[in-house]
Amino acid sequence: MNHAEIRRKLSAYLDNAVTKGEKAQIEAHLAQCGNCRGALADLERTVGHLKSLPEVEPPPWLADRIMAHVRDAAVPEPGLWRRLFLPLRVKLPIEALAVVFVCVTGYYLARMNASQAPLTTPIPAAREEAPVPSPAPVPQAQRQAPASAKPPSTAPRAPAAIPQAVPQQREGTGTYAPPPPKAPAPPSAPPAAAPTTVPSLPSYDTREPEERVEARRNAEREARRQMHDAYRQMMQKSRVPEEPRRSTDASGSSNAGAAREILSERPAPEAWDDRAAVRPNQGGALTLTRVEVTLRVGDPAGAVGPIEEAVARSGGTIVRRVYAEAGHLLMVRIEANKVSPLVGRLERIGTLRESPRAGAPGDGVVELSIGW
Amino acid sequence: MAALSNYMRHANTDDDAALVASWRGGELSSFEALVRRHQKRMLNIAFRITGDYEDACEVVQDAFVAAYRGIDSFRGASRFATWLTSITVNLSRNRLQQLQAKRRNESFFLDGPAGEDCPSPREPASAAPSALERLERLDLHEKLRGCIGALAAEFREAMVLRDLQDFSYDEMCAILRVRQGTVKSRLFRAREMVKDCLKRAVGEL
Repeated sequence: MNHAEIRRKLSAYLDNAVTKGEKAQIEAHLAQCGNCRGALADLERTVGHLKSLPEVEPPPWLADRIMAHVRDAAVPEPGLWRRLFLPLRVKLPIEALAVVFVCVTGYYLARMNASQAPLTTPIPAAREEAPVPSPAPVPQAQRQAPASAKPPSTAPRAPAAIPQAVPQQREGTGTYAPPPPKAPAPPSAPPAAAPTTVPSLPSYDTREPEERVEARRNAEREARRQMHDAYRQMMQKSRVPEEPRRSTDASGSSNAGAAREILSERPAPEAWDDRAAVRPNQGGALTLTRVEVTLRVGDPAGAVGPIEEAVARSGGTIVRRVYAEAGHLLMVRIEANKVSPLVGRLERIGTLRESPRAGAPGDGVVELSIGW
Repeated sequence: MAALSNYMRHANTDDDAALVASWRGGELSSFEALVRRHQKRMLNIAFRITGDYEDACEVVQDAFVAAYRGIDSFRGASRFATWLTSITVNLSRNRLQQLQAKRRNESFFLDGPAGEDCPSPREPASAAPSALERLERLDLHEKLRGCIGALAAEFREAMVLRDLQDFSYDEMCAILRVRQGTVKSRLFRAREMVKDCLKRAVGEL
């Protein structure tokens, strides 16, 4: 071993933790090296100082505190049942109250959500009727449907059932819109099936009821104007028969006053004239009579589905839809003898502002304009 | 004094085995006897490692509670004192790391700790007759405490176990769970560092 190795072994040599060979080598080196002898002496003095450090006494309470903790640790932890329910007289009433509170809260939450559900879903007014294929004629007896098949109260049948919070709606009750002039009968094809295209309903109006009613009155005028514009466009389309389907935006805007117009896939009638009331078709057998019906409904957007379904069940054909925020307009072509069943169905959906004047009942084709 | 305490320790070894056996049988008083027998030694180990009397009291308390809960892991291969010391050293090391982390963020008070429950350690005056010699020794002991406190935890543990508590190298291997060469190396470096520290502090040793 060299000098450095000897120095590293001095600590173990001091504790007599070296082998006999190492001990002999270290002692031989110490006899020759004064530095290592001095280092060993310093190491012995250092260890002596360390051993002279006094011991600290434990505080008198230490053993008692340790035993107190040990006794606490010796007590087994109570089981889950004991922790949950014991003592019964304290925890059981609290837990029972908590259960009752949770049940009552859940019940009221369910009630609140259930009361909001009809406001967000269309009213299935006419779905309670027997399913009848759309082209099939509807018998007159269906008009006297049982009261249970009537739509819910959100679409009241009588004006008295209109909510009192909307008195402005009653102002227009006596104002009948003049029926449109009789148009010449187009070469009427038999009524086709109702178009399968279902328009997406417009979003709900979140304004106050007074503002909404006032806006609706303004919109009705706008809707009539759009209806006449639509007739003019139909006339133009009838001159261009190569375009069987066209969708135009009546106002050109997607927000206020924006109208959505959906044409049925059937080609547009050949002759639609807002001036001529009746015009014989090619065969001269049928005439086209224009009848205007204005409905008052509580939920215009929700009434779209039931009205279209009523038209389909009555054997009518929807030839034009104008759905705007201001108002809705549906142009229907229907045989004259099926107008009455259709009106009966419409009366279940909403309140008629005026009785429709049907020309030449029982014969010909009627062009029914349903506005709401 | 060290030799006498060493003799007492070895004389108590057989008693420890009997008390442990009785404790395993459910006799809580046997465990209390073990507590009263070993609390001072464990407290001194924890105090010299942590350097804080109050923390040492808590460490000893936790060590005995841990020993009570973990008696099933004591298989009797070593002495009860060795097993208990192993628990105390581990808890002291953890507490020292917490204290060092705490001191990094707080200012260091030179006055030292003084708690309500744990009064300052009462170091008994030695048999030195002279008041001046007592003051010099007290000064030397304070510097020695500072030098031990400057050591890293692994060197501090080795020095405390060997030079202050007279554990053998084999027992130190069992307590620290390291090989004997590592124990020798740590002890050599610890002694050299304390020697140099004391030389700088007091001049001649």
